[in-house]
This record gives sequence, structure tokens and C-alpha cells, in this order.
Amino acid sequence: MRLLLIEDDTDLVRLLKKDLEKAGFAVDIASDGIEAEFLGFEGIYDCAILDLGLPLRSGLEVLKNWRAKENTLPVLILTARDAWYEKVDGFKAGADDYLAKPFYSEELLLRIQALLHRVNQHSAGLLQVAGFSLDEEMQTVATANHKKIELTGIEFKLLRYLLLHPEKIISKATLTEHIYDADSDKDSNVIEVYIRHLRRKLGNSVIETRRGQGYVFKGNSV
Amino acid sequence: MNSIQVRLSIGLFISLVLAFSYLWLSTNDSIRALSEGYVVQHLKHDAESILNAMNLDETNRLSLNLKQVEPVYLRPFSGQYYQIVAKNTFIRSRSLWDQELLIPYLTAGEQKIFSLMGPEKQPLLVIASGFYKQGLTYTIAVAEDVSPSLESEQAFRNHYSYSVGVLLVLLLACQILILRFSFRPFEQIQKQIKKLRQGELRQMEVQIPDEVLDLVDEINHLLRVIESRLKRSRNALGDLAHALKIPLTVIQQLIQGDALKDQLELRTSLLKQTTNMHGIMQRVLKQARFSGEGVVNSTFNARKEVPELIAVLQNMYRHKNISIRFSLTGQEMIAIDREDMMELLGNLLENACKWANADIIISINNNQALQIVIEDDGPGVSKQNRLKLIKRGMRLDEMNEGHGLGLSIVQYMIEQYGGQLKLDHSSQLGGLLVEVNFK
Repeated sequence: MRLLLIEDDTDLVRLLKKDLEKAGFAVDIASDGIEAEFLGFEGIYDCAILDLGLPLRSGLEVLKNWRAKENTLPVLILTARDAWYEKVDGFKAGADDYLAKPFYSEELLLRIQALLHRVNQHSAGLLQVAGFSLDEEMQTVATANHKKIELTGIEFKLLRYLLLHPEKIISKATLTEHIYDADSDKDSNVIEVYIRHLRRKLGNSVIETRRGQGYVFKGNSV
Repeated sequence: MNSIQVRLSIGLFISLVLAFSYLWLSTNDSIRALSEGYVVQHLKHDAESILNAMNLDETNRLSLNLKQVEPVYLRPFSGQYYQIVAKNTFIRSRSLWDQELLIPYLTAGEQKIFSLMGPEKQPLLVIASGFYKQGLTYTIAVAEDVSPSLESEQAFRNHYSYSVGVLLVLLLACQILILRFSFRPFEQIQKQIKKLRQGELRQMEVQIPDEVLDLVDEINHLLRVIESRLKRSRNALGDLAHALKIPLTVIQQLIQGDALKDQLELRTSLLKQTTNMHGIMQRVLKQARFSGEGVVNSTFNARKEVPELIAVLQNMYRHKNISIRFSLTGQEMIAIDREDMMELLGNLLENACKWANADIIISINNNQALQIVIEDDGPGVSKQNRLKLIKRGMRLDEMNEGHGLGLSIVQYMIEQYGGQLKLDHSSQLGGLLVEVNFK
């Protein structure tokens, strides 16, 4: 899952980025409104965390511009402005959630998780698909017979993306886009290696390969 | 009654009535004097010709040469009479027939003019004069029936009174119209001030007479000042909140970071302090943002904005899947600052959402007074605690989650508008009922 963090306070960005990455998100930063609006149209982000008081263009305006051009990027507003009329204005502009500063990282992570589940039509709580349930906090996965399996960072990121999009063909390029941030070296061959690792841990039939197209998460749906 | 218009009306009415009464009375007097004067003139003239017709024979017997007397004095009860009286003489005009006029004896040179009831009840004007002729003193009285002139006088008076009355009514009507017209700008000003209070207007805009131009200009100026001051202070508070909350966020993030992982005591006390700081900041900033009673800059449209607010809350509490029913009776425009109203309803509804199981009802009744009732189906608050919540201004409860900060902000806002907050048991849903009344 790749997030766009739009925030102009560098200290907060540094801390937030660390927390978000620890939780298995790839994070790109935009520090002003114009850059944020541009990046939001790239179509590679699963969610944007949007501050309202931005230089060059206000967060609310950025959000309105996205929605005006039918960009459905899930947006969580994270702002110090917490008056009710501002919340109403935020939601009216098209926000999916609203969190006021100061906040606790756990709260933010929970909200992002819930938002991602929601937009991908999953219920809140543990991510449960076809016999697997992913614990996003502990970054472990449990099988139907409650066997807990530990995951490495990349494995967790991959599995989360696949679980959020089950039964869909996902290309290697897409997986790369949603797992690495802009600053990482992207090598789509590495994806194959990690898919192999996942198959070894979860079972071969869980992830199917469609030649020339990508992968499909099947789970233990038999 | 302290209305300039009424005072002017009364003053003008009284002075007009006085002026017209004086005019009426003095004209009446002049008309009477005029017609009397004319009759007197005529009678004097007749008296002279009667005097000329008088003859005294050798025995000092008085006789009258009737040929020299106007024929009207010879026709019985014609309305013109004379009577001559001396010590041994009594002569009356034939017109008097057998009647006699009651005439005083006068000395020579004396003259009296008076009214008298004559024959056939004719009102007479009499001029009697005494004179001296050949050693004898005579009194000659000449009288004329004035009923024709009285009649025409009456006719004139009627006509005149009628004209004066009509004129007075017309003038009064004119005066009322003039006053109405002149005071129309003031009525407009009154209406506009009402609209200003209800937030339907931001500036006064009238065809203003010069006398109050400065006043209206000043009011408009003050309105602009208040509006820009509120906007400025709200912006400044927003900026301050922003400026304080970011560092506070960073500090809280740092406290929870890995660096202090092992310093549990330090971490706990730092966290407690920053949480306190945040609480106080939140309260003070929110309180300072309230516009409070006065001229409303932007009104709250309940029909439009409450559903929006409900949508936001349902979004925020979507995991609870709460139904929020909203009913509005009376006016949809509420004369309370939009931001303040949002804050009030937002906080009350959020409290309800926190505690409700599945149902919330919000009813707004905005007729003469504004009443807001919010009920939930949560656990409610015991009577004792309800009293505590109201009495202590929520200060003690602010530290805790729940009906804490939200309610204290709400109570502060309600105080600013001179309203009242009441907590009760919801008989409909079983949880807490919050009732807010504004005058």
C-alpha cells in the first residue's frame, strides 16, 4: 500500500513517515498544495493523508480539484483545524475521513487501515480473505486452522495488497508501484522472489500466476 | 409614547385645531359685527328722516308727516318700526299696530343700541336716541327685524363651518401623509436593523435623509469593523491553533517514539503534561472562536446544514451504524452565527454518537424561541450526575472522555447567547436527553 503524505512540517513528516513505513506502507511526501495535487493524479496511491494548511494551495482546494476531475483517491484529512464547520466543509469537499491534530499514531494507522478496508470493500478489523486473516498490527497471517505465520516486511506488504484485491489479476508493475515509494530502487524481478516466498509459507495454490499478465490471489477457497 | 412621529402628529394636530378654532370664532364675530353695523347704519339713517318728518304745533303737540316716512313703516308688522316717546307724547309707527316697544327714556344726546323681542316674535335690533327739540326731550327708537340677516348669517356660518371642517380634515390628512412619507426611511431603518439581527443583512442600505446619514454610515462602519474583527480573530486563532498543534503533535510523536522507550516514568509524565496542554488549548481556542450574541454575520440554515452535519457524523461513526433522525418545525433560518451553531450541534451530536447504540433523534423547534432537543438510546446519565454535569460547568469531567470537553464547550457557547442547557432522561429512546433553549 502506497500512501501520499501531504504535510509541510518537516519534523512531523519525518516522524509520520517512520511510523507509516513501520506499519508497512510505502510513503511519498508532498510538501505543498500544487505538488500534492499533481501527485494525486498519478493513480499510484492507495490513500492520501492531507493537511489543510498547505503552502501555495490549500488542502481543501487540492481535494476539490481532485474530486472535480473524478479522482476517487481515498483521502484522510489530518489537520489542526478541528471546528465542526471545517469538518463539514472537509467531508463536503470529498474527504473520506477526518482526524484532528494532535493525534496518536495508533489512531492514524487504525483510521488508514479502516479506510483502505472500506474502499476495497472489506469489513473493519482483521483483513480476512479466503481462509487467511491478516493481522496488520503484528504483521502476521493466520490460516483457517489458526496457524500463525510470521512475515517479513516486503512479504507483509505484498500479501496485504493481494488480500485487499483478491480474485483480481495484478501485474508485477502494479505490485511494484504499490509496495515501493518513489525513492526506492524498483526491480520487478524481486517481486517474483517474494511471491515465491509467500507461496512457500502459505501454499502453492494460494497465488496463481497468469503468464504475461500477473498474479491472482486465490486463497484456500477450495 | 416615545415616538417622534406620534409626538409630531399630536403637536401638529393640536396647533391646527387651535388655529382653525380661532379663525372660526373671529370670523363669526366679524360677520355678526358687520351685519349689525350695516343695520345700525340703516336705522340711523331712518331715524334722521323720522326726525325730519316730526312737526310740533303751537301747543307743542307732536305730529308726524307720514308722507315723509318710508312706506315700510306703515305696513303692519313689516319688520321696520319706530316709536317716539316724550313726557306727554307717545307715537308709534303704524307697522307696530297695537304693540309697544319697551324703550328706556334717554336724555338728549344719549344713544343706545340693543336687541329686543318685537311683535310676532321678531328679533329686533333697536337704536334709541334722545334729543332735545323746542324745550322737550324726546326719545326716538327705530327698530328693524333682523331675522333675515340672522338667517343669512346662520347660512353663512353653516357654510363656513363646513368649509373649515373639511379643510381641517384635509390638512390633517396631508400632515399625516407628510409625516408618514418623511418617516419612511426610519421605518426602513427599523426593519433593516431587525434583519441585521437575524443575519439576513450585512449592511444597512436605505435612501437615507441627511439627518441620519451619519448615524447609518457609522452603524455600517461598525458592522464592517465587527465583521472584520471577528474574521481576523478567528483567522488568528486558527493560525495560533495550527502553530501550536503541530509542535504539540511532533512532541507527542517523539514521546511515543523509540528514544524514550525505556524511560517509562518520563514518558508518562510528559504525555500527561502535553495532553493537559492540548486540553486547555482546545478549550480556550474554541471558546475564543465563538461569535456570541449580537449582529449575526452568517445565519445557520437548519434544513440544509443539519443533514450535512449528520452525514459527517454518520461517516465518522460508520462502524456503529447509527440512525440519526432529524425534524425541524418553524423557521429554517436560525439567527445564530453559523460556526457557533455548527460547534453546538456538532459537539452535542458527537456526544450522542459516542454513547448511542443505534438511535439518535434531533429535533429543532424554531418558532418564537429556539429549542434544540437531542436524544440517544445509550446508557444515559443518572439524575445525580446530570446535576453535577450542569453545576460544575463540566470542569471536573473535562479530564475524562465522554460527556467532557464537548459539553463544556457547548455550555460556554449557550451562555454566550443567554440560553439554557438542560439534561434529562429520554423517555422516547431511554438514554440521555439534552435540551437547549434560546430566547
